[in-house]
Amino acid sequence: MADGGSDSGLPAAAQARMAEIRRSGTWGSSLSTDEFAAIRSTGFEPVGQVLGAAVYNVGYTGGFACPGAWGGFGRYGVPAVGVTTVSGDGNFASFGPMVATLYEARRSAIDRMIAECAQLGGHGVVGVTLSIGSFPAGGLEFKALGTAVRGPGPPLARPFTSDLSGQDFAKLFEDGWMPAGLVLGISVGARHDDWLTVTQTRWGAGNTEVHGYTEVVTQTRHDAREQLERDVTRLGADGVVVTTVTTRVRERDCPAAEGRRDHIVEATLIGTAIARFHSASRAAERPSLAILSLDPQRRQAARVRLDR
Amino acid sequence: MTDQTSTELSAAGVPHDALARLAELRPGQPGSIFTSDLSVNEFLLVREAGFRPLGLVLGSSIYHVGLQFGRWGKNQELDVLSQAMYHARELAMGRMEAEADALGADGIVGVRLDVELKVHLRPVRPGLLDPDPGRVRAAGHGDGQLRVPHRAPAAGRRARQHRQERGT
Repeated sequence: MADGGSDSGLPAAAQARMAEIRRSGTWGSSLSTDEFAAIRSTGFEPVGQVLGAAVYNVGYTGGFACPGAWGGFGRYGVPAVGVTTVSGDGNFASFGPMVATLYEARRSAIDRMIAECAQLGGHGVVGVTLSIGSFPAGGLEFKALGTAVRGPGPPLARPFTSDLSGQDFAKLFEDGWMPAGLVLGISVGARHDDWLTVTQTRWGAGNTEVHGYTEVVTQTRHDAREQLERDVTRLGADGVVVTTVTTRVRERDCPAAEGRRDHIVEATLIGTAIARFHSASRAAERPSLAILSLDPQRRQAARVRLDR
Repeated sequence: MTDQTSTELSAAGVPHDALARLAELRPGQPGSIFTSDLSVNEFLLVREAGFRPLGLVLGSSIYHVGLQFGRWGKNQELDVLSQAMYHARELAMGRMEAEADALGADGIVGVRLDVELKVHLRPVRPGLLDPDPGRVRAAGHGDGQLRVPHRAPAAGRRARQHRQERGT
């Protein structure tokens, strides 16, 4: 999809912009001076700012049913047994369609950004910022913005992306790690109130853990982590360095049972998958000071050792 | 910038190796991958110390805080609240440690503890203390997270207050 051919799926305006950058022989970017210096020190050259955008309408979310509302007979008008569903389960009541749409929208934006990078002859994009906002004409706009960089040699089949800053990129690169791509782990979980959560949250319940809510938060975050690992395996990378971990909890009125509440948990993990290319770590000959003693004599001794 | 380049960095050689490695990435490679939310500095320093990250471990607990009795004019420890904080933290950290054990880890670095209070105020009879619904944030970084929604009574007031969750 991002092979830099004449028809790379980019809108006409984007193609025209890339052509103009190539023609002018200059490039623009939003890199700071430090980032620019750091990137150049690795042997990569910036070639221009690249953008990918997608506007999606999230219409069908898939969370209209509530299986937890039918969890047996209980007291206080709530079911006896709680049921937690997460989007990774894939059953009809989970928010699977919504999560799939969120993935697809972000992937579209990132793929278009990669297509622009390939058109400029770059090997990858650094400093990617992902953002979601509401689009004025309706829908949600997903944007990915970064700086394309080029190294020596022929272009890659799939340019890499990373949300690392220029300095972080250079630090990892010096140590023998290369970013392979942006990875996402998104999950949405839901739980209907049941008898146990009601009794554990009554005002007279005392100090107690609320098992139902804990379960929905825990399972949703685990599912998000699992989706992230699946994404990393899809790239074939060695590991992932996560930069954004968010968890949001909200309530909604249950669509299946009147007057009852559901808790919805959204967990998102965004990071950069990395791959090892150099086994010997070059940073070893000047080790960092990891422990600083407060004892002046030990500190003096450590200083002497380091200078040697 | 030429003579400032890092000592062993032959400008032609190293980016070539890096790009060659990326070119040979194959999807669905078997073998273990590691996850971590260490920053780049933390990641490199941890490796330099001789450790390697195994995985991101999480622990959560949603805790209901019981009634705390007290008087406004009295200097006292709010022991119900203190006990709740300790217990909830212990539950969450215990789960995080159990996950680390399952991975076969030697330890956990970069632990981030997030304590969030979600306060629902409901009318009760006067005389009960209304604990301060301030946000409590523990210092440090990390791989663990803890969430404590807190429900407490208030004297004579009816309001619903939700706090935005914030993870790290």
